Amino acid sequence: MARVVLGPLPDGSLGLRTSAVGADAFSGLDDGFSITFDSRWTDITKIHAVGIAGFAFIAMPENSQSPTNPAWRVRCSFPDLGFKPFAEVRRVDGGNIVHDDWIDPNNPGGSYSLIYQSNTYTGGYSSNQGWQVLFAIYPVPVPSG
Amino acid sequence: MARIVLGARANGDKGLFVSPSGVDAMTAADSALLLSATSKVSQLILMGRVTVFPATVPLGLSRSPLVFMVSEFNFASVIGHTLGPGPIRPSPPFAATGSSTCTINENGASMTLQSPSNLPATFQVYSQAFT
Repeated sequence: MARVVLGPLPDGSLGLRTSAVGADAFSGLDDGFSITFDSRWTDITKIHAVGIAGFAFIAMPENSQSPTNPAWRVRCSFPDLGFKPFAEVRRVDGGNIVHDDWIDPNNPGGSYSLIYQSNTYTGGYSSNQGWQVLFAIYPVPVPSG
Repeated sequence: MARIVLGARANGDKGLFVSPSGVDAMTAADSALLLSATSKVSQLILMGRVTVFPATVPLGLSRSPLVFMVSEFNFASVIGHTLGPGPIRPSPPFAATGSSTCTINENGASMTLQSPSNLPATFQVYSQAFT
């Protein structure tokens, strides 16, 4: 099993393909997990992390104003990139219904998220217990102080 | 010092790595590289706009993809605004009666978009899956 193929690809074209651990770079299906790079792709965005996180009554240790004060919020955690990255956080219901920016009727115009180097925090309410968000982290630095 | 590494780097990652002048591609941090072809990447596979709801869009995938949806709003009635309708964030706009949603059917076979306010919406579907 090859993790890197440089040369003829399954369709006969020449290119470069790399695969995730456990997948073959030559024959692996482009299913969103197995192939990490394919030179035939035309539009590519790097994604640092993707996940689903749930609302909880938690502290926000990165915030010096309230480092230990718990509140209802959802924390999306990802490996530290060394900078604050661009992030998308969207409410997801039942694992397959993705909302636009809307999360809660208390914030009909959209909820805000704080972005740190390895976490984002989106504020919420006790009524959000059991709710989840889908998040994607892009390795693009957000200008910040 | 290597400017190009094809294969395994010092940290065990495998792929194609290119570093700028003066930086060793074998040992540099990912953030210092010009190209890292082992990073998790995703392709924008579908982008579109819907105006009639519900709208079902075939995808033909076997896993639920990353989907982002943005509602539009017509600012024509806002004094000084001359650009007409367009995407708005945060979305939905303040005048909407509820959230627009995208339901991914059968692990990516298709998706159904809904907008309770019947606001036009744009969507982006990436090859990266989350299930």
